[in-house]
Amino acid sequence: MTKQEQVKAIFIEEAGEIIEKLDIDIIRFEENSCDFNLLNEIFRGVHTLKGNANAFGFTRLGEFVHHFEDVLDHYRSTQDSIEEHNLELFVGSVDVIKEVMTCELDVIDQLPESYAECLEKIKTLLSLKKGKGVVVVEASDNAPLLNDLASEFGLDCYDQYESLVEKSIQVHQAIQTEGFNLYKIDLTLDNDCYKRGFDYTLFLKNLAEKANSMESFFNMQNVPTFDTFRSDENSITQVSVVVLTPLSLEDVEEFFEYLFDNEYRVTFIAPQVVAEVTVAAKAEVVTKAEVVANTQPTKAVATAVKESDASNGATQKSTIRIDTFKLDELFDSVGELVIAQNFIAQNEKIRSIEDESINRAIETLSKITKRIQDRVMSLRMVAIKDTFDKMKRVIRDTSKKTGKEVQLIVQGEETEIDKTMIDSLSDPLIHIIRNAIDHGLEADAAERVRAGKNVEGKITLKAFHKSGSIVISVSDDGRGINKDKVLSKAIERGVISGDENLTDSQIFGLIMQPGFSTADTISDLSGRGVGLDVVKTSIEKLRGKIEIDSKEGEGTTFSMVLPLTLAIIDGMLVRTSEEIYIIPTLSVVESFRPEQEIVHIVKGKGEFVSLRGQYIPIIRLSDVFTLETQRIEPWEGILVCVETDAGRIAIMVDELIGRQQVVIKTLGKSLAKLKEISGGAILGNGDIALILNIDALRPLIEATHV
Amino acid sequence: MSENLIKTKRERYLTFYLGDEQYGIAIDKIKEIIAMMKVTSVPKTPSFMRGVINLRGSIIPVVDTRLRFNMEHRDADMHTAIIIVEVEKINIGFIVDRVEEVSSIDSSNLSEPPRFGSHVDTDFICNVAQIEDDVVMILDVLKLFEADELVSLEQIQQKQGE
Repeated sequence: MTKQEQVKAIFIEEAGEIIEKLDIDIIRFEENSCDFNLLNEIFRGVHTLKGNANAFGFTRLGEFVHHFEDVLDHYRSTQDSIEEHNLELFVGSVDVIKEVMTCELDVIDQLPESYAECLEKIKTLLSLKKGKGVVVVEASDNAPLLNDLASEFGLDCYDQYESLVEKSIQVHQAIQTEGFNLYKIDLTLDNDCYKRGFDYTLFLKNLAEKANSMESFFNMQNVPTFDTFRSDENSITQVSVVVLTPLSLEDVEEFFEYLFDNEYRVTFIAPQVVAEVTVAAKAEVVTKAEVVANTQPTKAVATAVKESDASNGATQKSTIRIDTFKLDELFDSVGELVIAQNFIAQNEKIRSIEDESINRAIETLSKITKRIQDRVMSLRMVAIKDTFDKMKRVIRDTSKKTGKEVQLIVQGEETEIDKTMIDSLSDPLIHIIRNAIDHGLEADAAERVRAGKNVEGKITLKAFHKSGSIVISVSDDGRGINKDKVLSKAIERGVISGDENLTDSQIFGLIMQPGFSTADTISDLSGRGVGLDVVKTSIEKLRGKIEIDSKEGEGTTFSMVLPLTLAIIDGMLVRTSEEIYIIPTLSVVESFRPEQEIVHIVKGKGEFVSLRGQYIPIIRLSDVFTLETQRIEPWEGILVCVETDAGRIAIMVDELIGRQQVVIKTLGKSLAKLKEISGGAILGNGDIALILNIDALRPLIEATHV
Repeated sequence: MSENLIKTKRERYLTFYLGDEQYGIAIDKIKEIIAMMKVTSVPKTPSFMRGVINLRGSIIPVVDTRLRFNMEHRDADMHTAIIIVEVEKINIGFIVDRVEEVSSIDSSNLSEPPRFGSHVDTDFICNVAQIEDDVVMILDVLKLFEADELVSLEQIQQKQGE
């Protein structure tokens, strides 16, 4: 990647973040359109986006955002109240921005349909608000001011400009105290910098907020007379700023990072040598100053400033971006550390030493290891708030589209969840929420009133911890699921045969089976299940599961039960023959040693265990994995009953070893195609145990009995 | 010395023994050599796929090179070693009888592999080198690896299909 591409990648990421934030903010603003702080926030986002877009040649995005910004700016400065339909326009505009951004990224020539329409509306609104003669207003505002300044400071002469800057530096040096750095910033601008979307005065304004003292000088030599002045062209090409601030050189440079490298130069001015500084230190300061005096000093100065940073403890940034890959590596290393620590703690020889100080050292080591593990784990965790905030938008849109009034209740948005999971969680959540509003809530207000409920439907979005898992649930207070209808439809569709004895949750689970729902609908179940199987699959990919609970007439709750992190699962360790395997606890229904009477052998079909009226096929791990073992009868071993895609199966093993949290590791590409094994985990003693993919086991039963 | 470098291209190879025969692998592909350790077998893989090992917290598949070359199984002894090779960013271990040395082989000493005389599938051998009186067969790890991935899994699938 060239530097330019890198910068572009950063821009795209930033733009994505800005747009995401706009999306959330605009909805919040719609709820409370008097919140001008929020409007300011939105304006800032839009402004940054404009600058970035133009800088990278995304002109269509830039154009749109430019006008949008003007409108926002109008409301922001006048504090006018915003009309309902204009709010709608704003929300629509954010949508257009999102779409245009995708077009720009994928280099699609065609613009979204709403682009022109929305832009036109914005322009109309703008001219309506600003009245006639925008240009005249600007010109009369700016031009005389420029002339006044020019005559007041007598800056027609270039020499004076330089000496004024020099003087300012001296003045600032005199007032400089410890902890503050003095910088001289030179901007060399061309006349089309506005067109690239940059307003350097804004940079200066931002910088001024962080400065203790700042003086700026504009070289007005080339400013044309009023007649030839063009408001869209920059005529001040040289600007110098002297600033006294606690910021480091990098931080100061950051304010100008949108400019090209050759357009700005930040120079660190060494402080005047104070009396108590030793001779050696003096010498150092002098060399620094010399480095600064160099014509292309940026890099050299950077190191010099770093040194001074270390000594005066300049302010630090509070957050840094880290590649998730690096986090994963760190996570792996900590996993190794935990294993090594376990090895020491459990080592027989070390334990037999029975020395107080060694025991204490080992104990301390284990405590520290645990703490490091927890902290590293927490690095990957982020609050689910952002995802929930996005859902507000979904609820708003769906509510408008369906014409149902919806009240949203959010609980536990501070619950933390693995960052890698968050991204894959949005789509399923959107799907479930749409379903809840569209199909879960009663079709119209009258029906709700008849049922004695509020006209406003209630959707509750909840996140909480439950026994080592994270649960995210979406509840509605709608009409609930009609069990009989689900059953009859499932039989009609051939999903079930009809003679099964199903529990409530199994019946509700049917609506997520592929092929359950099709286009033709039955009244109050209409469409439920469309794509729900997709939701189910994507949640299962995250090693989670969906539970549905519903009471007819009272509402439905979809709960997504997810592991705390993708890297760790709760596993049940089982032994068969000499090998140890891990079965994900999430899929385990129960484990037991069967009575001889309930085990049935069907010739040519294999063994079954009858459990509460259900016949569950038994799968012998030793058979399907062709392990050498003494053949025992099912009532001599242990059956672990698990829930798979294709129904329940009972896995027969020799022994249950226990339940343990294990770190999942892949077996590498060469073994990735092995369907029956989803990965491996390293146990406390350093041995590897393979993790079973139980969904792939069922087909093997048939294979072994043919 | 620098003259020497320009004239001939010398590459370094790790040589090891399987039975009486000597093999070599280009050193730049080798991550490390470890002593034989506990291997966890993985079901439903061909016999030469010995299983996986725990290399300081990473799980790495291990191939029994003898079985891969259709040679007889031999119990591990104190010389048995696992050579960890990096192939296309994946680490994979090869169990060998005995690691010999790292030797520099002049490119002029390399020749095309013979098509006969060895019970080793010649596909995996990219060159034969002469070191003094010894003949060293230089292995193409990439082919060894690709082939094992494709062939073995196809076999499994076929078996399942039947």
